[in-house]
Amino acid sequence: MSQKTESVSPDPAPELSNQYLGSLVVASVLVLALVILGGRINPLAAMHIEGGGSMQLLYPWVLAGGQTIANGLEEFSGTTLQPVTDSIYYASFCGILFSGLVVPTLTLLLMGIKKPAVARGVYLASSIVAVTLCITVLPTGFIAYQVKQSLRSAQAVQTNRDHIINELNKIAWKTREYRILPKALGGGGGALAGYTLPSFLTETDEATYVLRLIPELPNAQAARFVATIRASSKKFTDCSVEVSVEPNGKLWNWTYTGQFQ
Amino acid sequence: MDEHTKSSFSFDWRWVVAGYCYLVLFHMLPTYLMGSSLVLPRFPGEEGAGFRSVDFGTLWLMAGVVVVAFVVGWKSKGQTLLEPMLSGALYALTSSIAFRHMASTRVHGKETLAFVFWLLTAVILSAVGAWLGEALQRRKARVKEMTNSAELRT
Repeated sequence: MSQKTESVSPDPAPELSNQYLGSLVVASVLVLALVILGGRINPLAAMHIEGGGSMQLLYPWVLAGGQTIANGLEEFSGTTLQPVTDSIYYASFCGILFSGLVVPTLTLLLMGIKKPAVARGVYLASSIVAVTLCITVLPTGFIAYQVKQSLRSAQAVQTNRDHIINELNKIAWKTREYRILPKALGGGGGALAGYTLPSFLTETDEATYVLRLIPELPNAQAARFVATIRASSKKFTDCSVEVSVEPNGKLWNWTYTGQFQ
Repeated sequence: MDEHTKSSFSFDWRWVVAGYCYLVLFHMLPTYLMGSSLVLPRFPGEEGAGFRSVDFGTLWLMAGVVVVAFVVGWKSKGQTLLEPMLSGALYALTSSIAFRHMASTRVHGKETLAFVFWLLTAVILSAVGAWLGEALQRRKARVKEMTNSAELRT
């Protein structure tokens, strides 16, 4: 060895090896490609949830849930239910394929073997995805279950409320019918005095109803309301609706309590 | 003073790359995968934004950057403050591009302000994280020195 080479001290090895940095860069490029370009690939773009942000690749069931809600809203609004678009199918399929098959397979396949920088980068990215999936799958599953229960409960409350409103309208029209019928025909002859709810309207599957008549004095100014009706839900005991009835059968002053609010 | 605690200025571009990659891998990817509804950053000008609205998303966003910078500061030899700050700035730029559709739905035309705010936040948080990492590194080195000297005396 020459004198020159002896006098020069060798460069210390860098803290981060080129191979390690290379694998980090490969993994980062993969992640950036997924994040930035993911929204431009049609099936993946379908996973973009409006208002909710980026696609949720790990949660194909979020897509399914969103589609179910959209279907429900469409049916509720009375429009014809449209068939599910292909992109939703592809997106769900991609999600299941990615999070359920590709990522675990890559992670397990590349685990514990000596690999070049590119494979290390792929392994790094896939293992992060797998860990994120494992960490988030339980809480999201629980949240999904809670949301489902909450939706069902809200739907049941809303259905009960709608039925009660419908029955209150029926009662209001019965009061009007009684009021305008002459006394000879079994009506009130212009007044509601003496009217009682028929038995099939006192208690239904949805609620029990109590009608309170407001006395109409002959010399007094025409009263705005002739009665009040209180409906107490049978399915949700803390819920009730109270409403005032006009002489023409219109309902005013709707007051909801409990979950009906 | 050993190599871990030397205070002379040094700049290692490898730690800038590594710090940036760590942020992309351990912060951006989980953010993306978990869905923005959970981890959306909150910006000034956004509806309901402010210090009152420190939620899981904000905590995740800030703590993630601090933790990555902390690891860089702790694991790197010598004083490494500038590198994580640069990584944080680069990451703020990248994440603004990557999540621009998420931000634009919430900041309502104040994208530039949101970006500047996020850039400053990322740089400051990186500096804080790196400083904490350096502090831990110094403390460990001091403990090691004390242990060594005690062994020598015995």
